[in-house]
Amino acid sequence: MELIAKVSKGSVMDQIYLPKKRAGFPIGKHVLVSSLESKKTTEKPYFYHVKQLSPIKIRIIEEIFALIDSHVEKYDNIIITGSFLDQGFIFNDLDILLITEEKVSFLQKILEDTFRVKIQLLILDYKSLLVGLSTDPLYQSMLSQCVAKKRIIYKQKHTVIYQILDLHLLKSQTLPLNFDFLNGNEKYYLTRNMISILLFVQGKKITKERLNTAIKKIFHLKDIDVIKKNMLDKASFIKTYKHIYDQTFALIMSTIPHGTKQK
Amino acid sequence: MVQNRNKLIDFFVGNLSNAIVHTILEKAAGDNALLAKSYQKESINSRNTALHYRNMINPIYTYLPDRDIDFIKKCLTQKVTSELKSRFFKKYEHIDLTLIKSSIDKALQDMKVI
Repeated sequence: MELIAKVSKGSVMDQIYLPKKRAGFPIGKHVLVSSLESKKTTEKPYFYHVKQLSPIKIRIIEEIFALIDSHVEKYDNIIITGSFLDQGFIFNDLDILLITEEKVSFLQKILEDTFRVKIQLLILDYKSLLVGLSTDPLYQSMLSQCVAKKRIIYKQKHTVIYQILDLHLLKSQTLPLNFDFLNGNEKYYLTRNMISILLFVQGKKITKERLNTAIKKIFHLKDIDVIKKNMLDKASFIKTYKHIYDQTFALIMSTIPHGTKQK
Repeated sequence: MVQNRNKLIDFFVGNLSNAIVHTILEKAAGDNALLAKSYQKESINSRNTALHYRNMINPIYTYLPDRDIDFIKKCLTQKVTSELKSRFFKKYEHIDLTLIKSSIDKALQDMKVI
C-alpha cells in the first residue's frame, strides 16, 4: 500500500498525518518514509588524471554536483580540482570551478554551510575559461587533474601575455623573505606557482606530474614531500629559488613586444 | 621564532614593497578589469603580511621614530623603484614611475608608520 502525505511542522517533532480510514499501515507497524521527488539517475563524473579517489570523496563530489544542479538553472560544467583530489583525506579546501553565465555568487555560502569546509568557488563563463586556459598557467594546472560533471572539451592554445605571467610571478617573490614563517604547503604552492610560469613561458604543457618532476629536478629533492613537510635546507633552496625566479622573470620580460610604448 | 627588530623591519619593508609594486602595476593594467582585480587581490595579501610584521615592531599603536621612518622610506623607495624600472626599461606598458612616492606615503600611513 502507498499513501501520499505532506510533512507537517511540529513543536518538538515534525509529523505526517495519515487518514484513520485506510487499508493497511496498522498502528505499530514500521514503515519507510521516502521523498516523492523522483530520483534522478546520477551521471557518472569524468575523471581527468585522477589515479585513485576514495568512495567517500566520490560521494562528496556527487553531493556537490547535486547541490549546484539544484540551485543553478543553466551551466556548462562543474569541475572539482585542487588538493581535495590528492590521496588521503588531508586537504586545504574544496576548489570548485563552475562554468556558467548566470550570476550565482550566493552559491558560495550555500556550499560552505552545507559542507562545513572552506570552499574556493570560481565562477566563469566558457569563453573566459578558454581564454584562461590559453594564457594562464594556473588554469592549465587546475584542469590537468580534476573531476568534472560533464566532459571537458577544449583545444589548448598557448598565448603568452606578459602582464598575467608577471602578476603571478610577483606572488612568488616573497618566499625567500618569508621563508621562516611559511609552512610547507605554502612554500610548495609558491614554488609550484613559479615553476608553472617557467614551464608555460618555455611552451611546455602544464600538468601536476610535470610540475612535481621539474621541482624535484631543479631543487635536487628526492621527494616532493620534502617541501610540503617543511624539511628544506634553507640556504641552498633559497639560492636556487632566487636564480630560477630571476631566470623566469627575464624570460617573461623577453616576451614583451619591442613595439610597445610607455605612457 | 623570536626575531630582532631590524630583521622585522626588513620583513616589513620586503612585503610592503611587494604590495606597492602590485598597486602600481594594477594602475598599469588600464582597461583590463580582470587583470586589475587580480593585482588588487595580491596587493591585499602582501599588505596583510606586511601588517603582520608591523604589529611586531614597537611602538605598535603609534608612529615609528623618525630614524626608522627615514630608513623604511629609503629602503621602500629603492626596492619599488628597482622592481618597476626593471619592467619599465623592458617596455612594460603604462607603468607610471611618478606614482612611487605617493604610493609609498599612502602605504606607510595605512600601516601607522607615519
